[in-house]
Amino acid sequence: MKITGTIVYQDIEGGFWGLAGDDGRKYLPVEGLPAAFQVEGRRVEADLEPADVLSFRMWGRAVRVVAIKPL
Amino acid sequence: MDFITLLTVIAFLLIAVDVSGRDRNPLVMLAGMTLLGIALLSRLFSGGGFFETIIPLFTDVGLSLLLAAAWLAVRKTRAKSGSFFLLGLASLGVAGLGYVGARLLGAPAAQASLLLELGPDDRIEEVAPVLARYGARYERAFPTVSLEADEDLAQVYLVYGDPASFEALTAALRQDAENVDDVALNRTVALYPPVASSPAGATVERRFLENDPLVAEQWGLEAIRGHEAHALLRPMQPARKAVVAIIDTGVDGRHEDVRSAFGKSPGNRDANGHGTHCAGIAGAVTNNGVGVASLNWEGRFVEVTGYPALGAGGAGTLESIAQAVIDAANDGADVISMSLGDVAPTPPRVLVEAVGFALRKGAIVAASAGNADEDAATHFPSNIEGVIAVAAVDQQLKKARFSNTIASLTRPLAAPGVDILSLTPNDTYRTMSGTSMATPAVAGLLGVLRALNPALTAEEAYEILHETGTSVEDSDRVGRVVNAEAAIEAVRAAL
Repeated sequence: MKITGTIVYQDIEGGFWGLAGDDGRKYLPVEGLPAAFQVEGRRVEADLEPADVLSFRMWGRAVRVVAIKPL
Repeated sequence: MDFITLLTVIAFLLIAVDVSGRDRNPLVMLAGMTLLGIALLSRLFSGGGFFETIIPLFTDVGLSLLLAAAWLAVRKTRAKSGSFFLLGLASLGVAGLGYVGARLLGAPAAQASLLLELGPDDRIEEVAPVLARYGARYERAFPTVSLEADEDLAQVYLVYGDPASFEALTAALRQDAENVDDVALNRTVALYPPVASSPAGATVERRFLENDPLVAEQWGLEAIRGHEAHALLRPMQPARKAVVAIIDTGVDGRHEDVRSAFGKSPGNRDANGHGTHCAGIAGAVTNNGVGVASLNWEGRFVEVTGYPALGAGGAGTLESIAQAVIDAANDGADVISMSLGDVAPTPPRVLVEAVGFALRKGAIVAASAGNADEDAATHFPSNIEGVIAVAAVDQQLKKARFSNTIASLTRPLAAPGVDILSLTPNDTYRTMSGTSMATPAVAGLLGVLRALNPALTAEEAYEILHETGTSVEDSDRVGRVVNAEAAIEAVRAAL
């Protein structure tokens, strides 16, 4: 699925980066984000696929990032 | 009537006797004035604030003057009686103004009080004789809450009296289990005073029961009345050690602050740190002169085990988690703590069945409510039937900004989950936030309860934690904050 959204840092569960989608959903990249995209507030377009995993982060929908680029 | 009030009354009666003009004796006036001076000074230096001092002072003086006026009237000295009467009214007027001022400024109208909660069907008149015995007066704590709106809050009373008698009064009230659900000191909660509030260069030293060097940084322990719980546990012997299984990223079983309480388990290493953090909250060895404290006093009550269902990145599959639940149950876990989850329209069947298996094996299962600041109705495994769902509160005992709400779930509870200090691998420590941190706090307490009473069922354990929990502002969204002291007391009383 393709989404547009904003990179957000969550200071919980030890800290992690997430995607706040423009569709109002939260997306949790379970394998993290590339370092270049670990920037609070950066607008991005991302191609995501669902990741059927459970996590201790318990924030948003678990996804894997297939592709990501800045907007 | 307290002692100072009695002194004031006697003083004014002696003065009235003297000014009545009959049987005049300078020693009577001297005694009256001396007693009055002692009473006024005692009131002024009683340690209360402005309003807590002037309200009882002018009330004492006013009532004493009215009594003296009555005595003078009986003695047919009407002119003097009238003066005493007017002065008495004026004093009571000042006390009334003080009371109004205290209310307007939000200041407490009394220096100290107890919070007394009766059962839903009980009446305050039934405990009034006990209160009268200690000279205590009472009023409803939440007069705007009806029994229909909340049968607990509606039955809470503020009890005022001499603080010196509170310990005995509390014990007397607790003996009346038929009417009294709970009684506790209505103390001001000052969990973590900001450093800036200390005078420059001054350090505030506080003595703790525990000798764990980092205990002063554990606000969460104070919030669940952990220090008071330690005082209860210190002389107690558990029926047996309870096993608390941490299903997470594994646990560094060689960490200096948990190794003597760490049991045989498949996950004794932790490549992430999350599982070790949770394990420390649930069962770090307390009063061992090392690191932090949990509720596991001297490591005698809880044995912690680790099940590595999540990888180093912090994620796991349904299967790996279900398998860990089954393994922990088969290994005899008393409590299974899961600081993990995901969202789905209905909880996955495999996990429902694994949890059912564990419950039938006698385990108590607790799981985090989630961190998305939304309703946890679709967050599993915390929404699975029979699971205790745990939300997080912050230092003000309000819902943590990230915590999911769990009002829609059947077994909601809350515990501290913001800036919680605990263990991380290789003998290190750090603070973390999340409902992950709240869950092992509840799991650790459940372990202690099981250690005291191994026959405690999951349902009974939840009921105890709910009934003894502290109602806070957001309890309608996150459940009651667990109260370790009250829960342990409840289990001990039922043994």
